[in-house]
Amino acid sequence: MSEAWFEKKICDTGCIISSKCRLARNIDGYNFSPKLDEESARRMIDKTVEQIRRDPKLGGSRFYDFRNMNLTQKQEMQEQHSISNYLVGQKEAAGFISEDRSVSLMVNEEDHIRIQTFSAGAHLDAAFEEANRLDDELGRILPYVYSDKYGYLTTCLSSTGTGMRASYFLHLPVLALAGQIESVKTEISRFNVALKPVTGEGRKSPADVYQITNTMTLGVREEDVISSLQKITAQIVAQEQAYEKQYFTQQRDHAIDAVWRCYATLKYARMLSYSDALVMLSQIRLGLNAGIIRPAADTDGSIYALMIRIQPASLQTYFGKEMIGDELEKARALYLRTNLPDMVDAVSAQKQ
Amino acid sequence: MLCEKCGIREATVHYTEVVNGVKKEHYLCAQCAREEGLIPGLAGISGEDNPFVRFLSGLLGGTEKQADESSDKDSQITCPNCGMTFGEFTKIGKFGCPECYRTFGPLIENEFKKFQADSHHIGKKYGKSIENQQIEALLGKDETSLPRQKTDDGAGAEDAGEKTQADEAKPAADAGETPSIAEMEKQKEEAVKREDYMEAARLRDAIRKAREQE
Repeated sequence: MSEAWFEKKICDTGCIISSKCRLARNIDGYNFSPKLDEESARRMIDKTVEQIRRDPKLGGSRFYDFRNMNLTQKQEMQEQHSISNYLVGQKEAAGFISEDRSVSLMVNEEDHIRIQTFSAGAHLDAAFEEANRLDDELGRILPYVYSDKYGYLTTCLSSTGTGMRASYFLHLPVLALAGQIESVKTEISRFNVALKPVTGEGRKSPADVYQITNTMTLGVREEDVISSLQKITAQIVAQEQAYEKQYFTQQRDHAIDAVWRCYATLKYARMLSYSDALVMLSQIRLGLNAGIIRPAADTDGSIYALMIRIQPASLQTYFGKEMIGDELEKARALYLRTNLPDMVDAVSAQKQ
Repeated sequence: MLCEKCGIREATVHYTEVVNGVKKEHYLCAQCAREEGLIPGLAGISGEDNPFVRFLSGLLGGTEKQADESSDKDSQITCPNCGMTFGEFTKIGKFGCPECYRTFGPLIENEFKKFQADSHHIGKKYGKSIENQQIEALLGKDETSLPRQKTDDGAGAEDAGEKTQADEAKPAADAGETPSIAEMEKQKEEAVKREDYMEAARLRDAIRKAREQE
């Protein structure tokens, strides 16, 4: 399998880890998910999949069907952002995923069709263009429900219109450390964008990774939404950078010590919880960007990929066995000891 | 493994809670995890966390409980296709089918304007709109069989006369200056927007004739 988008080095550069675009579409002739019974859902899935498979322009992607998958396989896909949380909860679902997992087509999500594209780094335009291209092709072979007044008719009225959610995944470790995330959230809500945690298991992000997304879909143009999101994100990135500069100037010794302590723990711990590991990986990513540490040799993969791959289902797949509790923590520690690249001091190297 | 909260559904979410230094593993299903606010990404987008839903619930009397009350007239308005009631719709913030938009759309026009930029789509366009399909259905020329059209049968019969009128109007249009197909397409779209289906149908036939003559 080719390198996944989240393995790319660019995911570790600057505050922007990745760009994402998703489009929600529904197919004519079927009720929406709240009123779609299992039998009709199955018919919709089978017919849609058949039509997509016949289209040569949509070929080349891996096909999956929940009928042939166990829970761990579904969760692993969700952990790697290939499918949504909602889809994992569905009994009947199918879809297509590109080799590098940057393009995902989900059938029987909250909407019949969800097109999702990722692009490593700050490339929202590219993610949108890819989603739009796929949408054009799908719209040609599938009868979407569309209204001149309301645009694309979606299940949830918060998606009605363009059905588009554009977003960036941001690493904001020092804004989080300074307790500024809530005020950023309040500030940006005026511009109809929202900030929410990505990694972790709750309302906070131990990895300091947040997703910034547009909230409006009706009465707005896709291009304007993207342009506005780019401008607001640039402001947040500038704020994070200013805080980082201040942090590494005013609390330099403590900041450097924190990075190395986290590295040491990741390299030597025998048990690691998911959230503890995320907190430490966040420091490693920060240390790399701030020029505190650097990899000892050229390595593949990214720190963000490690954040993804230390989740329960991904670890179980990697080690090829079912694990919970302590066993999972031991496996996580072993995975990180093995896969976290060796780092060297980048500060002393600069001085020499 | 079953969800530790409901004991019914498969546990799909695993999380570790640390209280006073003591770690505890939890295994929940997606629904219970969502209720506990443990699934990132969904909060604020759908379900009860959606401010849009909270606002809609307020429409029917202030609280979600009141939204359930059968005494409320609006909450009894029902989608003729999927059977979703307005009460149900305001509670979950989700439509049951395309027809729901026609049924509930006019009732939430102001809410659309408050939570969205406008109540009218200006983004990417798609070939055939439901409004266009409605015209075709009214004229009995629709080849697709859509569930929502089962309620349109009566209207379709009434409009048989309109179809004749539209056909009669056609030569008049042809007799004058002949606009280009692109112009007529544009006029047709405008006619649909202002819900002048008679004019839209006339233009559609004129476009078809012009294409045949090309």
